[in-house]
Amino acid sequence: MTRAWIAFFARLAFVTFGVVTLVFYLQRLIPGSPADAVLGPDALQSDKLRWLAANGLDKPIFEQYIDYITKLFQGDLGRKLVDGRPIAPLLVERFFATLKLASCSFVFSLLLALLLGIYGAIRAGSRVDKFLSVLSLLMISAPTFITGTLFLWIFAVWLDIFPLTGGNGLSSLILPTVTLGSALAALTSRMLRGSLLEVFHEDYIRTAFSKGLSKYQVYTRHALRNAVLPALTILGLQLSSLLGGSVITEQVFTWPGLGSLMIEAVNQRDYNLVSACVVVLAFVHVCLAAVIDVVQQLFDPRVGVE
Amino acid sequence: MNPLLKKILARVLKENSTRLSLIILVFWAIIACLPALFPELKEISIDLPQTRRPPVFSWHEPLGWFGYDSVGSSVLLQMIGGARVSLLVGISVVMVSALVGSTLGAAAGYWGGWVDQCVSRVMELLLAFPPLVLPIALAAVLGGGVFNTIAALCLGGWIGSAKVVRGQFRSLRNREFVIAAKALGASETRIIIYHLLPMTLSPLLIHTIFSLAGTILAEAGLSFLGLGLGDGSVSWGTLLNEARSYLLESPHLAIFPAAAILSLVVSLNFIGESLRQVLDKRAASVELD
Amino acid sequence: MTYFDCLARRLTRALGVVLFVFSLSGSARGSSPTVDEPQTLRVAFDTKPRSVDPRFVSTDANSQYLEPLLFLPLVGFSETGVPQEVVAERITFQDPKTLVVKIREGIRFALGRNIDADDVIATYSFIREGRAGLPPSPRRGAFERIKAIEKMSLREVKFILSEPDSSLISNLVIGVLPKEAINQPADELMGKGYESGPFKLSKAQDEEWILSRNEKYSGAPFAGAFPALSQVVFKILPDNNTRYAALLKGDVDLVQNSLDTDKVVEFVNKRSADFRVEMRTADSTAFLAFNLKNKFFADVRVRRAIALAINREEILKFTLQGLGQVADSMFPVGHTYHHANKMPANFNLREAETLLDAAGYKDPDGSKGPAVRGSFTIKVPLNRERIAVAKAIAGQLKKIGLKVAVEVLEFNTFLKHLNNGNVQAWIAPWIGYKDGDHLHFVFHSSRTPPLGANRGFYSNKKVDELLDLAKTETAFAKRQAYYDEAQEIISAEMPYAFLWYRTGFVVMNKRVSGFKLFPDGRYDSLTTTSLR
Repeated sequence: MTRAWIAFFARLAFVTFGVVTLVFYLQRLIPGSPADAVLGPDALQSDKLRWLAANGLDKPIFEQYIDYITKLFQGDLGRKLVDGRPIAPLLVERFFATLKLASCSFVFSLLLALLLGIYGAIRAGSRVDKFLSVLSLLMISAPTFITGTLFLWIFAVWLDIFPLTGGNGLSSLILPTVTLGSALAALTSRMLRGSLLEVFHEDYIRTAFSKGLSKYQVYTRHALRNAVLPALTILGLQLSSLLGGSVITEQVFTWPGLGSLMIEAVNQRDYNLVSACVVVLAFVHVCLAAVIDVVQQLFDPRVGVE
Repeated sequence: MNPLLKKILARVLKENSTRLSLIILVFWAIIACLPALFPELKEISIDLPQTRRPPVFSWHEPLGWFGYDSVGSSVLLQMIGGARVSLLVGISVVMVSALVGSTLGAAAGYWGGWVDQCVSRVMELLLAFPPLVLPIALAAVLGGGVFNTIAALCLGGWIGSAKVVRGQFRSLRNREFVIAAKALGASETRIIIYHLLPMTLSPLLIHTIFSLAGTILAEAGLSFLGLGLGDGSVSWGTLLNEARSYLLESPHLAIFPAAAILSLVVSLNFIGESLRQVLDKRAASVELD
Repeated sequence: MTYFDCLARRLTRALGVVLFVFSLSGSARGSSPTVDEPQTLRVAFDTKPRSVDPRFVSTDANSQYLEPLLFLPLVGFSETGVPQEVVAERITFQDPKTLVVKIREGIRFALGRNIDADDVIATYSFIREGRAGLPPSPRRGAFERIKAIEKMSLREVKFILSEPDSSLISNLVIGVLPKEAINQPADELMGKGYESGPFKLSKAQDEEWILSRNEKYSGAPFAGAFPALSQVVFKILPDNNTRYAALLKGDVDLVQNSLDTDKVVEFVNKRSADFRVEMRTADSTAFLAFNLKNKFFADVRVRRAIALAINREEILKFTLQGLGQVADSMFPVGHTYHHANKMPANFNLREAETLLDAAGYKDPDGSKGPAVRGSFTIKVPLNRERIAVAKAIAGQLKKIGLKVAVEVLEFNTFLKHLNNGNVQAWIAPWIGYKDGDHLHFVFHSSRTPPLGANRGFYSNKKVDELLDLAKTETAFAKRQAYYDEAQEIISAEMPYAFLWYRTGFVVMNKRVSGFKLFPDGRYDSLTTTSLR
């Protein structure tokens, strides 16, 4: 157990450190200076230089890097370059918005996938199954900025039953959830259907039936438990990428999440903000990966710790 | 033709959906080649009085079949040019990714040890970035253009193929035929190229087809964010993004590129799926027994 | 009961629980804070104001619009761009190097105190000198010629200049802060009673900014009436389509100058039952600029030929749906410094071709043939309309045998290319200019980047001289004459091919009344706006 913890922390340290370094240098390669973005194109050159100096951006890059790392190590995410406000509260707020959307879409997709996947597997080869599989392929293949925009026009403007933008409580959550969730559900349901079909041919299912268990018990307790395993990895990846902020969906629905924050930060050359976002998300990513490993073990004792 | 290949092809083509998909794929491939054969197609004129004119169905005006866009250029011509760019970006990204990914994945899977450590850590690092952030940052560093978009998408693209190949190699490297080949004095390069690589081809092929579909969508996504091709070249993604402003008044601007993307991606997915069904059993059996 | 009924019921129940939990968390966090009072006007903004702190307002338009609603400046502007006293009662040049400002009596900050000379001095000193620990003010450039600011009496301030600068008056637009606000951290002026304008800032967040009526407002009638609205909510909606949809749906009541032109026309033509649209020519001049360091553009005949070959009426009609007016100089008709160009570049392909021939760029195979006289790249920032305009121009220039490529860059990258001179030609607008001194900033040979906006490296001794003279002259009529003469030369030499003045517009639903459209897009008339 201790070894597992050590491995986890080593991984955490490595990934966070690596990501910081990469993003730190990559950003400084982007043409355009934050001074232009903050002070405006018509500000005096001397003021731009003064501003850069005031923010420590006139030092050699390596020195800036050391400064940044030192601060980060002390748990200080720094301040936004654009307006000098502390980053941490902003990040927490945006992360919650993203978390809300991510968890809703995830649960929605999971439930939808279970329903469609199990149906498809049990009625495999039927007309409905074929229809569902074509539908799910279509859903995988449609870009979210098109489905999202369509949903927006149909449900928010034309039918006027949902709000147009995010941040308006529960009802504003539904359209982005459905947009994101249905694309994910399509993928998961296909995986699930496939693995369920394989499981159905196993001996223990036949045994379970012959014990006189009901269909529901057999499918849910026995088949699903085993079939879910291969889907778990996919689900983990999906959750992780959802938490990273679904840039496009957030833009379409004006959702105040991390994805749109990062785009804004990149465009304004707010080095500190971009770095902070990426570091925090990398941190979350590694933790999530560890959790998924554990969950996988719970489902399948055969998977051991490497 | 290799009899095995023939058999696989016959199995794959048994289903109507796959056959249709293949026809669609070939269709788009031909369309994409047209501008190279007929340079006139590259001359897309801008004619403001035609701005957003809806499609006209007349034999005298083939350029107007799909209507005109917001500067009065023929949507039909742009769709043809867009096919070229979208496929070019997609295929280049996938090829480079497969090449780089399988090389690194093969090295990591075969030798293990520190090579594997290095490759795996790099993959872990890149995967830890929030999705799209690396392409966005790289697109910002490099600027627009077909080549830069390809580079930006390759950055994360190779990881998938590397994972697939690494997994295969790890499970194969201690198998009897490898040990036998080693005992017979085969060099490592020979073992990798002649013995191991062929065994990974089918999962790699399946992965590549799916990721081609994904790449075409990703390119459209980058265009949507305005970070795609900035040098004036047109892809289906840029067309679709431009059409978003006129969804209600001029739906013809959105329908054609959307249909094109959808048809291509769906058929790729269908083909990938049926290939998986045919090939994966073999791949799986190699892995398990 | 079949298996699927059972499964579906369980899954639906699970989804219900999740949504319930989120509805609880949503209501607990109070995510719908704007109570719709009857007099709450909702306005859509395209970008978030960067800062309305007068010390740190930079060039972003939305910040500049909100600033005078919150913090009254010494000087405002009439509709035609003439400076008008607001907090200042009288402004006089004692001599070209000494400006005396007398402050009105009885204009109070919300905290109850009158604005006096100390506040004015503190505000302007901060802009000039900054404070340790605070970022420098982006507005310092306009006050470089000030040597000292002195207090003459409780209500009189003297600005002493190192060199004459008559444009100073038009720069005294900075919102006056109480002197105790000067040392506050950046952007932390909310809720402290520092406001002197008709509104107070009561929320500033990423998705919306809220101004509420300043009940202690005392600036009327010099800075607008006491507002009828109790609250103005500015919703930040970056996407063009979303702003349009929000207006349609009734989520916002008013959008000014930030809709696609075809949507504006649609509101006029098809939705006049529910919406009212007002239009007038705006202080917004679009142009195609040339980098004169480029050998091709160094020849004035080439520049003129290009200007002649651009059919501006056609682009206005089809790309901007008629929302613009052909321009041949910097300032639009109706602006104080408007100058009627005597050599307008009216669309004329034949003359354009003759000029190119004369300049030595002959078409190798006639205008129908594929070979070209020359080629260049127009750079534009990522903006759908500007991209369309650039493409349209490229299409038109093809007719005189010029091959034009369009390169789209992200905005900050675009700016970097411009300031590095890494550009051949580009399309941009000037907006919100007031004083004729704007020409100095754009065309004076000393104002090449990074010292100004002469990004095409235009240089003409006579123009320099005239613009310098105008800067030192304090008599209005004489300044106007200098600017007229300078503009005459500029329009003949064409460092810019002026394209058009945009037509400003405001689209409001029928509840809104009393909102007046200004050429510079300001929101000052929110004080006279009311809702039915």
